[in-house]
Amino acid sequence: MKAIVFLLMSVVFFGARPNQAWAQNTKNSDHHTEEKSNEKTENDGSQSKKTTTVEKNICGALEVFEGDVQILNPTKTHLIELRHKAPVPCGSWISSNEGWVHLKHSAGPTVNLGPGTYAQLLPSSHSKEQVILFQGQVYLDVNSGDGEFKVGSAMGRARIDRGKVIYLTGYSEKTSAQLVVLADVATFENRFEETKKVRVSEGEMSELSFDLLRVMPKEPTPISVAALKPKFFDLRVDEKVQAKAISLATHRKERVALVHNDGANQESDDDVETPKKGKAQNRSLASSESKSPKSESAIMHDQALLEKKLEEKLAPGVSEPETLIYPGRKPKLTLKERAERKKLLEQIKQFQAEP
Amino acid sequence: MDYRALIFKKISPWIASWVAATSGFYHHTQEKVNHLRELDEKYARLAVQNASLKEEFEALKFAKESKSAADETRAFAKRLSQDTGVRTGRSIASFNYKIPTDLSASQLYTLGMSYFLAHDDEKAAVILSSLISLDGNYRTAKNYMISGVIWYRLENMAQSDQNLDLAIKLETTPESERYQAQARLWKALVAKRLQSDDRIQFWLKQLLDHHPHSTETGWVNLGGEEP
Repeated sequence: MKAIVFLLMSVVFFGARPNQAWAQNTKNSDHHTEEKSNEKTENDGSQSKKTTTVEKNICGALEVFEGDVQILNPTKTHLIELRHKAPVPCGSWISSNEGWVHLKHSAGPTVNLGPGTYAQLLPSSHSKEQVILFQGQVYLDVNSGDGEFKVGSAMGRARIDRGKVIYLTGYSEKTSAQLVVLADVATFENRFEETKKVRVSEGEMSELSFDLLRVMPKEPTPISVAALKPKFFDLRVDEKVQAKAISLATHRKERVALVHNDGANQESDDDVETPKKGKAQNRSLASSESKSPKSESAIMHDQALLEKKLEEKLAPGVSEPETLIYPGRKPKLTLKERAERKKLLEQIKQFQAEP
Repeated sequence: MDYRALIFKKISPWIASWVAATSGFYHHTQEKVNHLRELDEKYARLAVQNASLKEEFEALKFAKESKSAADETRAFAKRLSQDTGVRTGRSIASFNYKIPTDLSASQLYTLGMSYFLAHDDEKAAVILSSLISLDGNYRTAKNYMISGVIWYRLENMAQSDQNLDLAIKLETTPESERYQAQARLWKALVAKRLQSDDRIQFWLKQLLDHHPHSTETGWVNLGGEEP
């Protein structure tokens, strides 16, 4: 009986199968998986080959990222998995739409890409630039041992031996590229006119634009702290660097103001903050600031010092020059002499009081 | 009839329908899994395609901008070469500096000289050019010579040449003589920058002829007369 039930059940079960769809499907899926596995092995093979070639051409490592970030491999076949310390091959395209990326370049410098940035990483050798900025903004921190690091855009190129800079491009129709130096020095040039470079020092910025009827970048001007703060946030610049850059920018701006007289701050550059009326009008420049009056004791001290110098000049080697130079004046006593004199006077007073 | 057979007869259609339903469920689940897998792969493919297209777009944009920048640089350099004598020369129109309006002429002159000494040549050029053009007292050999030097630094050889000419053309006085000697030497340097060998020779000869005992002549003619 059991055998009959089993047979019936099996007949019913297989009879209920929708024709050969299951088998076909299973076959297909098996075939698919087989194909997949083959592909996988092929892929794995090519990947391993690629990895070996790529490992030789690693241009950086992904440190930190946030938001919508994509890294396309140089052969444009796959997107690189975003994880901490993920290797970034040379020639990779990095897109940070609404996010930011912090990379460590194989040459040494750290590279921070801000939002709306599209850039390509290139090796130190065999290329004119190590970072090509198609659009957006990049913050670079180059140390002294890293060698000359170059970042380029469609028109400009910045060279940094040692320093912290922000390079921007495509942010305005009028200006092609802008270099802001936060620390140390960098040079800025037109990619198509390399003979003339502009040296931009810390706290300064320079622009490259054809609006000024020139092929070389603009003369460096002090950076605007107000315009810089949003960039600091976008590029996640270290707070210590921020503080130092702001102090340098303020110092650089004061240097410009010191050249002019009071109220003559006619620096016309757009990025230079001109003092607003009212608040800044009453502000005196550092050079013309009146010093606080000296205290009386300080003045007395200065006078005494002056007199002593005069005595030494007028009567060198004389034991009591005061009496010689100022005959009418009583000689100056030392503290010890004064104490003795006081003591004697008290003793005399006591003698006088006794009778 | 056996009661077992009867029960089996009764429940067998239910079992059959249950088995059919279960197999259908398995079939649909597998289909869905396959579909999801296909979608996942499609999404990955599309993401790569999208990134690739973006790269192509950005690369094309970059190439276009680069070409435009190269063309503009070439055109500007050509125009500047005609106007100033050098491809990277700068003209006064390209300076984004405005002179302080509340300073007297002498204060402006001091400011201009301080910029000149600090090699802030664009500002120095603007100040000195306006002073020379507006105030006759500043049209001296010394100021023309300094202006020539500033324009030389700014690689505007035409302007430099013009200013040095003006310094030389002024009446020779004991005070102006040394500046005129320097101006003649700078004229030779301008000619060198413009790669005009004949003019270099001409101006050096002029220097030797007009100022045989000057320091500048001593620099040029080392074996000649002592200044």
